[in-house]
Parts: sequence; C-alpha cells; structure tokens
Amino acid sequence: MYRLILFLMCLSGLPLSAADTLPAGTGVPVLTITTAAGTHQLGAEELRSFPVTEFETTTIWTEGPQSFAGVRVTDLLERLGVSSGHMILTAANGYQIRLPVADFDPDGAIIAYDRNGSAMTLRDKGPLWLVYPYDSDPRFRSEIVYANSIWQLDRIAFTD
Amino acid sequence: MTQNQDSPPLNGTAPQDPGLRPPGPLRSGAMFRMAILGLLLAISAIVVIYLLTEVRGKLAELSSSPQDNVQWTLAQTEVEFLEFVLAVNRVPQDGTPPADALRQLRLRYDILYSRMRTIQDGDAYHEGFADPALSRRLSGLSAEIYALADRIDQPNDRLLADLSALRSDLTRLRAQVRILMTEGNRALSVASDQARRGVSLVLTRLVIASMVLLVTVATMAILFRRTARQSEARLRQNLVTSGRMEAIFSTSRDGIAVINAAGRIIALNRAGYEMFGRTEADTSGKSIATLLARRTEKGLEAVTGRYLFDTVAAGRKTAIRKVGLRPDGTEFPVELSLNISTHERAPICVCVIRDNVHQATVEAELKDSRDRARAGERAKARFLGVISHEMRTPLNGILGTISLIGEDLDTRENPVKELRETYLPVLRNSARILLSLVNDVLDITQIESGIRLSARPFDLDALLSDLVAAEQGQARINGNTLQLSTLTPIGRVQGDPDRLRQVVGNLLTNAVKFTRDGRITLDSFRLNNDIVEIQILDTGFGMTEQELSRVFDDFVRTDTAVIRQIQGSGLGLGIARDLVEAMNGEIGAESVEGEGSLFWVRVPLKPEDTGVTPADPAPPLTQAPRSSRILVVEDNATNRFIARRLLENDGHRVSEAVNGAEGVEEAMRSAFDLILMDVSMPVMDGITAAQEIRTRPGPNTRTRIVALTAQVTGGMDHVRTARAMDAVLHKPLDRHQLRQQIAMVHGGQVAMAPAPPPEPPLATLVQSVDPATARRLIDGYLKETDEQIDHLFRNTRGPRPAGPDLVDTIHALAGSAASFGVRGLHQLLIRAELAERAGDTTTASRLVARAARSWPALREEIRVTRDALPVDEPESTDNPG
Repeated sequence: MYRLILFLMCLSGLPLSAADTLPAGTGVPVLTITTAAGTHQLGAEELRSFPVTEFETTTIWTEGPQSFAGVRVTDLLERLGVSSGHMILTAANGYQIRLPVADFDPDGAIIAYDRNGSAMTLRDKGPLWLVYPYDSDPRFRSEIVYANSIWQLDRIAFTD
Repeated sequence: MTQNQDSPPLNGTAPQDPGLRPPGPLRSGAMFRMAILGLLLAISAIVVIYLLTEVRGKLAELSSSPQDNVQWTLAQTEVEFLEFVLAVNRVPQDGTPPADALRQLRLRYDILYSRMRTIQDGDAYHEGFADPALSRRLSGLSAEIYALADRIDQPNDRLLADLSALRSDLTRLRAQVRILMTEGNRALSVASDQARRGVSLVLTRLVIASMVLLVTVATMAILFRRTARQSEARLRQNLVTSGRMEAIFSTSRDGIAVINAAGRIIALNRAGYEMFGRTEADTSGKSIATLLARRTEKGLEAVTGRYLFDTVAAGRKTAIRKVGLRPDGTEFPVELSLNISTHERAPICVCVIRDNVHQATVEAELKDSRDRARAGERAKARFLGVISHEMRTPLNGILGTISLIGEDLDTRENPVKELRETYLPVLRNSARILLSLVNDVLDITQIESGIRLSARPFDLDALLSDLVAAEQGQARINGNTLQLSTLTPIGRVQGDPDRLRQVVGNLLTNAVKFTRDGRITLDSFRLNNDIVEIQILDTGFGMTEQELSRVFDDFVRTDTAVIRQIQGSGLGLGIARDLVEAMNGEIGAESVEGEGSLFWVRVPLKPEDTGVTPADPAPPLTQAPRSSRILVVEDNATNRFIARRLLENDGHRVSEAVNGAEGVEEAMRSAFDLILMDVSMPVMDGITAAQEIRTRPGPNTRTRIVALTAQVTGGMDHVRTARAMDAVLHKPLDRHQLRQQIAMVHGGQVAMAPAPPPEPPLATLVQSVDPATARRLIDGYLKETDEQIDHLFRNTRGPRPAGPDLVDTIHALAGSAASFGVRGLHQLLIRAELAERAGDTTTASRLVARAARSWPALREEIRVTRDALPVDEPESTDNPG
C-alpha cells in the first residue's frame, strides 16, 4: 500500500522517483515506455524481473500449440500505476495499435518474451509479443483481438 | 356382460341419427390436411434449425475469420520487402561508416524474415496459398529470403562488399514477391468470395425454409380457424337440432322410449308416461320388459333390449305389434317403430310406441262408414229394382190400354161408350197404382228428412181394436182369423197415436197379406211403467233367416212376396222401423219359414193419468169462455152444422165457408178470433187457404188457425199443416179440445190443466142440440150413409165408373162418420179414401166392402141411441145438408 502511494506520487510529477520504481535499464533496451511522467527504457532482464505468467495456446500465425511466457499487461499497468486512458503500442515495423487501458483483464494478454521455452528474436516475432490466451475463451478469437496481437513490440505510450 | 357383447352388429343397415352422428368425411379431410401440414411444419422446422446451425457456423467462421488480416498481412509483406530493399539501397556507397544504415538493413531484414515465417507457418494463410503452384512459389521465395540470412549476418565489411550483389538479387526477388502477393491476394479474394457465396446460399436457403415455415404456419392457422368455425357452426346446429329433437320428443303424441343395449330405459317422453300410466321414477333405468311384452305360443313373454336390437338388425323397423303393460296389470295393443342410433359412442334403440286401441277404433269407424256407404248403394240399387219392376206393371197396363183404344177408335163405330166403360177405369187404376208407389217414396223421403211426433193422450186398446176391426175384412178374404188377444186393457196412454197406428197397421196388414187360411193374433202388454210391447203373431209363410235379417231394410221384397205377387213397394217395414226409432222404441221380428212370423214393437207409452173422471159434469175448463168470433171452413155440411152448434152453444158467433177459397174471401171481409180450417177440401185446400190468409193483407193475418183433419196418416200434408196452422184437431170434434183452442186465443191457461177424456162423439152431438134436432141429424146421417155406402160398394167392385169422383164420396162419408162418432166406419173409410187416392183400388174396394158389411151393425147401434132420445118434441125433417 505504501508502495502504491509512492508510485502514484511518482506519476504525479516526480520523474526521478518513477525511475526508482522501475527496474533500472542496465541491459540492451527492448521496450521503451512513455508515460506522462517520462520515458523509460526496459531491458530484457528487467522485464524478466516481473512476475512471470505462462500459458499454452494455438495461434493463427503459428503451427501447432505454443507455450508463451511473459509479463501480464495488468501487472505492468499496476506497476506503472495506470488505470485509465489509452495505451499506444508500436512494433518495430511501425505497426501501431491503440487500446483502452480498461480493456485488459488479469487473465488476458501478456507481453511474452519466451516462446516454447526460448527467448524470441526479431526474426521470430520477438523480442516482445502481445499474445492472448486464444484457446481459453472465444472472445480472444476475434478479428480485433487478432489485430491487437502486436508482435515485434518495442514501444508503449500512454495517453488520456 | 359388457355392452359390446350385447350390442348388435352395427353395420351399414343402421342409418344414424344426424344429431348424434360422429364427425364425418368433412372432418377427416381436415384431419388429413392437418396431418400433411404438420409433417410439412416438422420438416420445415428441422430444415430451419439445421440452416440456423449452419448460419451460426458460418457466422462463427466469419467472426473468427482472419481473412482481412491475411490480406493486410500480404500487403504488409510487400511493404516490408520494399522497406528492406529501401534499407539496402540507403547504405552509402561512398565509404562513410554505415553502421547505422546497416543496423537498419538488418532490422528490416529481420522484420521481413519474421513476416515470411508467419505467412509460411500460420494456419490462417494456408488457405490463401492452398493452390499448389502458389504454394510452391511461396516456398521458393521463402527459401530465397531465408537464404539471405547468412549474407545479412556477415560482418559489416563483408556485407558492404556483398551489397551490390544483394541489390541485384533483391531486384530479381522483387518481381517474385510482386507476383506472389498478387496471386495470393487473388486466391484469398476467391476464397473470400466463396465464403460469402456460401453464407449467401445458406441464408437464401434459410429464407426459403423460413418462408415455407411461415406459409405452413399461416395455412395451419387458417385451417384451424376454419375448423374452429365449422365446429362452432356445428355446435350451434347441434344445439338447434337437439332443441328441435327435444321438442319433438316431449310433444309427440306417440310414446318415445330410448333404451340402451342392456335394455334399460334411458328416457321416456310424456306421452309414454301417460300411455303406460307411469312416472319417470318407475321407468328411468328400468328394463323395457316392464313396459312391453310379446305374444308367443307360450303366452306373454317379456321384450328385452336384445330382442329389439336383433329385430332392427334383421331389418324389421316398423309396424311391430306388441303388448303394452300398465302397472295395474292391464294390457293394451301397441305398435312399435324402431331404429338404432349411437349416443355417446354407445348404441341406443329409439322406440316410437303407438297406442293401437285408438287406431283400432278408427279402423272400425272407417269400416263402418264404408259398409254404410255400400249399404246405401245397395239400397239405391234395390230401390231402382223394386220401383222399376213395380212401375212396369201399371205402365204396361196404361200402354196396352192406349193401344187398344187406338184400335177401337179405328174399328168401332161408337167407341165412346167402350172407352168410358172399359178403358178409362183401367187407365185410372194403373195411374193410381203408380201414384201410390210415388207416394210411398215421398213418405220415406219425408221420414228421412225428419219425423215430427205429436204426443197426446189416447186410448191404446181402442186404437188396436180399430186396427183389428179394419183388417177383419181382408183377413176373411184370405181365410184367416184375426183376433185381439189383449188380456189386461192398457187404457189411456201418452204418445203419438197416428204414428203408432201407422206402424201397427202396417204390421197387421203384412200379417194378413202373408197368411193364407191361418191365424193372426194381436197382443199387447205393458213391460214396465214406460214401455208397452205389441206383438203380431201369424201362422203364415214365414221367412228365411236371410230374409229376416233384411226385412226392415228399405225396398226389400221377400221371395214369397215376389212369387205370390203380393203388391207393395218394399218400404212398409222400413217406414215402420224409422217411425219406431223416432218414438225411441224398438222393432223386431222372429220367423220360421213355412210356420209363421212374430213381429214385435216396444215403444215408450206412459200411462195417462186420468185425474178427472168423464162423469165430472163441470170441470173448470168446460166453463164457457167469453164470446168469440169464429170462422168454420168445412166442405162437409154435417160437420159444419155440428161445429156451429157446438160453438154457438158456448155463446160464440160463427161464420161458415164451404171451401178454402170462400174461407179466404170471408177472412178478407171481417176479423175473427179463431178460424177452424178443414185440411182436405175441394176448390182450395185448407193449407193453401191458411197460407193465403196469413200472407194476404187483411184483418186475419195473425188470427189463430186450427186445422181440422180426419186423416190418420200424416205424410207431406201433416208437415205442411203444422207449418201453415197453429194447431191440429182431429175429427170428430171434441168439445173440450175445442174449448181449449178458444181459450188459447184469449191467452187462457186452460191448456195447462189436464184434459178430460173425450166424450163419445154421438153423446157430444146429443148434448149439443135438442133431442129433436139430434134425431133429425141422425136420421139424415143414416139416410145419407145408407145411400152412399151402397153406391160406393157397387162402384168400387170393378172398373171405376165415370162421373162424380169416388174419392169425394168416400171423403164426405168418412167426415160424417167422424162427426157422428162411428169410429169403425170412419177408420175404414179414411183408409179407403187414402187407398183410392193412392190408386190402390184393390185395397180401396176391399175397405169399402168391409165398410158396407159393417154398416148394418153400426147403423143399428146409432138407431138405438136415436130411439133413446126423448120424444117430447115433434120430429123435424129439416136437414142441415
């Protein structure tokens, strides 16, 4: 609780404090997060320090069942203290989507970094891929969800 | 026992009551249509459900389809390929460090690589590259792009050196990428098109199936609605029908019983309750055997429900005669009409029960009226037979005589004498026979149109005695002895003496006619206070049983009568029967052929109370009424004279007229209180005269007119007399009766008092006049009768002579006899007159002969009376004639 209040204080105009709440960007940055408080570079190691969420599902872009491991989006949002507004996700090839923050569920999308037990590379839709547990619920097998499943993710920005 | 076992086979022979009929062909047709529609509905529903599933599948397919994404991906692949080419081309060739440009080149390559993998591995893109040629092309392109990875991953300097080769390779690949993407796109478009078409087809099918479903449901709705309407109409009709049936059931005059297959009574209508004398409580649910039974050789046997059903099944439905039973044990004939119907799916038997007693009565009445009609026809035939036969004899006489006259006129020199002496009497006689026949017929016509009885007191013994006396002559001619054997005198009675005389006279005449050398006895005795029986027994020819049964019918003549040529119209006994019946009496006969006959008459004749003895010198009635003006119209001088004397002795003023015409003239001249009018007169008879006085304006149109008649028989004249005049007095005149009539003119109540018995006429005469006048009158009468009776006797012994009509002479003589109370002579002469008038000259001659024979004895009696008169005054020769 104390941490949450501190985190909120960071978001409300204490950029130095925000840097403290996220793991320090030591390795090669794989994800750039831009919030109202500023921009933060996250390395692969830092992402792996978040609680790991894993599930197995098929996708329309792959052959056979795939097991994914990554950071739950809601965990990330909680860490960032964002509960409203929109999230703009952009891929390496410039593909960009805009999603309401409120759309994310705890059992929904993750930002995966491992596929079938190994880290994903750029040639393999990596290093980060926003995947949904498509097999677990029909609502994840819609055109919009497919469109939202952005791979080669490298930037996230928050707006109102 | 179940109902089914007991019920008869309900085959087509039992037409069903329309009111109770189960749904017919109409309903089953509707059922058939409904079944088809139901099937159609089920099939449509299944098809629709299937199609809906299909649509849902398609929609799911569409909703989860990555089609658009795939197209975007293909486009993106090309974009990413071009980005890579662009990145390659951006690497400077001038030797400046190209680290950043190379990093971009590698990034773009990685992105392209990833894209190619996605296309090659993703399930979503397999469809787009399903075409083997395209698939091969994709594999080739992928392989070439993957092959670039080793060159891209070279160190920077090597990569830079390889760059120009890379560019030319990429230029080559670019064309391939272009072709692949275009082809892939087209394939996807085709697939997408097919998918859309599939959806469209499914939807079209769905629409068609839905339409079919809709139409089916609508049709069913219409059908249901129509069926409902028909049911409603049928229900209404059933209500009306059942109401009508109920009305018929309850108002029928025949009994109607409805029974079930077990023979129990379900219902019985009111007529049935009345017919069987039962109530609803004793019949409802009871066996039909309590009401009906049938007659068999073993006696009465109960009628069961099974028996009735079997009867109908055997084809018998009407005119079934059975016996009805009432609770008091009485039986009555009934006639059944049966039919089988169904009620609440159980067979019922409807029995219409008619009480046959009534029908039997009607049948009997019909038969009776038919018999009567036939009897009437037979009577008519007999009438024609008898009358035409009887008429032929006199007609032949007339025609024969006429032809003889014709011959004589041609041949004789002086035919007039022959004509007068020989032929005229024959012609007259024949004509009179004809007239007599016609009179008989008129008489019976008169009787049929209604008989008038005029009851009054009379002496039955005297009447019978007179009748016997009158027939003695004829009886002697036939060699018969005729006697009156009454032991106890019956005395005076109340009744119609004229009618009784006619009846008994007829029977007596018949007995005399049909007996030769035998014995005829007339007997009379009182059966009880009301009834007197008179018997006429003869030892004559008798009759067969068949003749006896028809003897009282009109125009019946027995074989004996025909064979022995005994004349008659065959009406006598018929008339006698009618008269006796009119008197509320009975007439009958018994007979043995060859031995004789017995005719009897029973008539109500109450004894007359003779409260006042004839010896009473001054009964209240005989007080002289006040003076009246009286007109006496009478052709007989003696009668006129006696009437005048009787009336003048009572203080009345008397005018006279000698015939009807003069009487009318006299009545026109002056007013009278009473007119005494003889019926039978020359010039104008009394009836015509009375009608003239009534109708012509004059002073006597309302004067009381009393008929004087000597006729014993009524006939047409009697009726006409009764119509034209106020009262009838029979000759000889009776003083008391005369006084009553005068008293009635003055509104006196004397008519109510009992009349004293009439005095002997001669005594009346003697008391009315002084002895000398009486002697003179008696002498005149004796002289006149002496002459006339002899004259008559001679002139009636053969063909009737020309000259003054015999009938007038007989009439005059009869009138005188009545005035002088010579009853025996009067009766004979009256009958002789009637016979002569009727043309029955034989009878007339016979009666005149009898009168002539009886005259000397009667004359002697009168002479004795005359001689007993006081002789204190000298005789006068004055004759009132």
